[in-house]
Amino acid sequence: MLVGVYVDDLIILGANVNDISHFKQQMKKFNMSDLGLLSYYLGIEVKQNAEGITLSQAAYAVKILESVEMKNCNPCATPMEVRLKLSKKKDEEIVDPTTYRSIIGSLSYLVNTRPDLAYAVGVVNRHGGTCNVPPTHP
Amino acid sequence: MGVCLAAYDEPATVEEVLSKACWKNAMEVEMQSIRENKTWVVTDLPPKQKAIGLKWVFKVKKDPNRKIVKHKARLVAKVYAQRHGVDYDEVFALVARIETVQVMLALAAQSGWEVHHMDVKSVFLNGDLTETVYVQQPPGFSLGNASKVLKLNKTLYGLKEAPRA
Repeated sequence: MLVGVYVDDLIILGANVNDISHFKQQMKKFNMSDLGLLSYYLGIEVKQNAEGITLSQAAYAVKILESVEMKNCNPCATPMEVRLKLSKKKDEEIVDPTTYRSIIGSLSYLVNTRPDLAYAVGVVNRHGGTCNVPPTHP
Repeated sequence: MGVCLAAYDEPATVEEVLSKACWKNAMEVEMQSIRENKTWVVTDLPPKQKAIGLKWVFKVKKDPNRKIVKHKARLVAKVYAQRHGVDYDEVFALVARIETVQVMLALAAQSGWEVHHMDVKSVFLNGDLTETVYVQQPPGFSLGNASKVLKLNKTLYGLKEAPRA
């Protein structure tokens, strides 16, 4: 049996279901709530069925879109523009580095379940998390 | 009792919530949990000691579909004044690396195991405190004589030592 601990969030897995219920029973004395089968952990949605385990971050992705006011943008099939060049020319308007880096941070966490975005997120993160021209949204 | 139908907002001060049943209730739940844990004892503040202020933090918990799951009130210590070596020594939190979580889920998927989930209610309230820390009385709740302060037995949220207790 394996137990993963994230401060106050526990995930428990193992071959023997009886072991898991026994462990849960023992943990009850620490005033814990049993949330049953894992369905939502660290912002990641988890679906468990006979075929396997499916992870997604749909709600998290929507939250990012809302925070950057891009909820109404059209979806696209490719995560970035082909041969996109991000410049650091001095005469162009600079984007706010704090906001820019915060968005990159959010996108990096989204890469957990969207490895297809990894390259695009890497590209926008190239110049030390700064940029003059706002890049195309991945 | 007023029902909170439109309590999507997270209030910033106690004054805003004292009239709203759902938030009052959430504060009661937190106070109950603190009482059960014997988090503090009411005492006089010794000379040359400082009592750290407390404040309430309010949070609306939602599930992935944005449905409101619960209203949560958390009593936290305002610890900008805590000094290293005097009020606290080491600071760290126990977390699992995301890679570890990924490996565990992959293993479960591979082996066809179930993954279960548990969570600790008010985790920090379980931790014993080694340093002596005084706090002021919680806003909105009177614990007798106003001149008294609280000496902590257990950690409160916000304290530097909370994550490792």
